[in-house]
Amino acid sequence: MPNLNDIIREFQEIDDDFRLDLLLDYAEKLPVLPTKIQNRIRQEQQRVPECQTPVYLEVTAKDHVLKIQADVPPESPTVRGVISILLKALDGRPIQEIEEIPTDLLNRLGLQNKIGSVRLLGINAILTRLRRMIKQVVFTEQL
Amino acid sequence: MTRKRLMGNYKYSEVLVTTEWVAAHQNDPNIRLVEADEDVLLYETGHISGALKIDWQNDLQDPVIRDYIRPEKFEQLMSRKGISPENQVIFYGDKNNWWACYAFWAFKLYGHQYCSIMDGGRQKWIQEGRPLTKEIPHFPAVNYKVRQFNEKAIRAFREEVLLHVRAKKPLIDVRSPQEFRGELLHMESYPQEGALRGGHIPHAQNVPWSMAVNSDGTFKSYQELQAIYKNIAHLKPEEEIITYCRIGERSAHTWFVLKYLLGYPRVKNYDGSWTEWGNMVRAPIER
Repeated sequence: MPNLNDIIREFQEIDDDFRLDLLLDYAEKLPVLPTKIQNRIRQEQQRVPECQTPVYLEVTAKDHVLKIQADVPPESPTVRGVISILLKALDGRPIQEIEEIPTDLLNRLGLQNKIGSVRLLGINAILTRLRRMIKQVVFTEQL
Repeated sequence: MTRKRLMGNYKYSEVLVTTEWVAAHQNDPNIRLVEADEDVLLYETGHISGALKIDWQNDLQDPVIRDYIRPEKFEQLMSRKGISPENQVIFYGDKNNWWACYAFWAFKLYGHQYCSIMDGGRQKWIQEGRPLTKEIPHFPAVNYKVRQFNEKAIRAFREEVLLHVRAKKPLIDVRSPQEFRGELLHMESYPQEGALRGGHIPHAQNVPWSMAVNSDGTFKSYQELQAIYKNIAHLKPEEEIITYCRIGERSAHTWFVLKYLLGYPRVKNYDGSWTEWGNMVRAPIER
């Protein structure tokens, strides 16, 4: 199971022109949630303000292992890709091994210029949300 | 030439084409389909056969200065993509065609004459079960020349907006009511609007962009649009009108409605929008 640094290295080593393609590969690999959960999520998402991608995130822990469930609409492959990277690196990992998501993750992945500054605002906000959710779960587990 | 009145009784009805029309004409040599999306990767997941990708940020905006690319760069972009000044460019995209309208507006800055929007955008095309492809089209390179840089007529800058406010001329804020009231800026764990202050430009009327569309993303009829902008918002066709939102994309949508579907001649889009106004020292703000 690759950790976040392994994936960052993968992105840094790939030719600049193919970095977005790599992100698209990750986007396509984001696991699909069971229909029952999806339906519930879709209802809740009616409330998401119009400019923003309705991203569903749920972070829990069982037997000291982190579990992340995420749903990102197919119309937002960029966000799907970033969430998929984090799932790959963090989902199913023991709590004591969880690394904090770096605040400059997109920059480290070499995606900052590819995605464009205006779009970064929204994606970074989603990352902030996920980072905080993980912190809370890790903190509670360590009590 | 395939330009002709295609839809409804809009003022300039040739600027709107249906998905059926695109399906029937997508291989016309005079047509260039352009997909413009919010998401930088959406085109790669599948697009209409023959459609080129134009990214509002990576293609149309200057990478350093907050501005659109210089006309020479636009000429290079068009030449590379194989879009000639005579081509009818048909834009479509995600999110109710926000970015398609934004790209339409940007093409008009550079004076591209024949621009249209595919009504209902990407969503309608997909819902109708029409095919997408991942194949990237290649058209022979051309030598594109900008005939007339058209910025003054359709783009508003902050100084002009200030004068507009003082003269109490009509300003249309097309954001959601929450953004208009300055509430969204403070919502926890949601993206900051990229502005230090929340609220709206004084005297602006809040007419959310979404009022202009049906639930399938298509534009409302001429009569319905008249009812909203003339009867409710009390806009007069001959007035100077400025539209704005957060970064200028949703307001490009309303700009398109006012300028082309209703035919108001003097409408400008303030692309600096709230991410400029809400950060400017001493800019007047109402809540």
